[in-house]
Amino acid sequence: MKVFVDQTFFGEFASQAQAHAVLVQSEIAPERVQFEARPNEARRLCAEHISVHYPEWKQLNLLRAGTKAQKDQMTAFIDACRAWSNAEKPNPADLADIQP
Amino acid sequence: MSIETELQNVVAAASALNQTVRGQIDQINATVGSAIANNDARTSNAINGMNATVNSYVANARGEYLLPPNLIANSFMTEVEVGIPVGYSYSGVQIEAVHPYTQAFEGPYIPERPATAVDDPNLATLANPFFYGVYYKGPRLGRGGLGDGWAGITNGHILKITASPDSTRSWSSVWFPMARAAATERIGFRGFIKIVQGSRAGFGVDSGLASYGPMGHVITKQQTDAAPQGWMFLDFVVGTSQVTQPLTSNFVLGFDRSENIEAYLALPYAYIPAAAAPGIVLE
Repeated sequence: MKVFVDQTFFGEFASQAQAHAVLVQSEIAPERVQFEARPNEARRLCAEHISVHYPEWKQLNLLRAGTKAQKDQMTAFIDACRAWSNAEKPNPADLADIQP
Repeated sequence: MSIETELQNVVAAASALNQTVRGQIDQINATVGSAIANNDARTSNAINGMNATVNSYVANARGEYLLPPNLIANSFMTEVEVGIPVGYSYSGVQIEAVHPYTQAFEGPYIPERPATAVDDPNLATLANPFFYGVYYKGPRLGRGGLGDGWAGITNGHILKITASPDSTRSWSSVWFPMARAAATERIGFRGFIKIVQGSRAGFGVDSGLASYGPMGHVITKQQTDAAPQGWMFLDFVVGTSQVTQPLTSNFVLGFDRSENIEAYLALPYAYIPAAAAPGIVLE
């Protein structure tokens, strides 16, 4: 997870939790901080976010017996998440804003 | 016989008895003294013998004790993403996973000296390795290493750390991918370090934080320069804060923010000594 403070590169951390711990210790206010996920990390966060709303059993059920509206809603959500993970600088805060 | 003569005889007899008794006492003292000395020597011999046995046991045990599983993940740095070994964190310095031929941490496992080989181990790279000998990779991983060899792996790396002077930055540190949760107050560490630029590196709590610079177990460039090819073997236990999350800044590798830094780290290994752990939960 790349971390920027006031738009300046601060460091790269294995997880957002570890970055938070270091930032707290450095007495850096949260509003000054921006995050950018590493490519593999973005894919992992994306998969986790999709699974929260549409675990695989739910995806299968909707594909098998869901209405068109339900399928379209799920597809739009998953596509939006994937677009986020494939972005050049994926910000985890933006992923959290993507909802079904 | 007059009373006077009898008294003289009595005095003479008493004197003779006194001398006899004193002689007996001296003889007893000599006997006891000899026994004590003899006993002391036997006791000393026994203690010395026990010390020798214990010292021999400790010396052997030091080389034969079991190493616990490594608390640092991706120690061989086989997993690399965009040049960074997965799990390693940094701030104020740059890190990069580089080939183990770099700085002659190891040499190639081949029968002949390659034409591109360098004479100076400090200049060694993947393209221009340092040749240690016929099918010999050098003193650290002689036969099978991180880059090649007999029973070696081919996709390992070592860590390169660089930085420029900047007196304003918060950290000059590298965080290891340590176990997420483990209750401890001390950490043992083993591995190899080479300092090319910069005066010191430190392993410990908040090492590299702001102007504090290297803290905890501190290594100097003079020490690494004196090691074979500049690679110093580290084997130490350092006190940390009493914590349950070593992953945070409880054990970090830190440098001085006022210096140019170029350092290399290989095969980092961390463990928790039993005496320091009330009970650990590794996650």
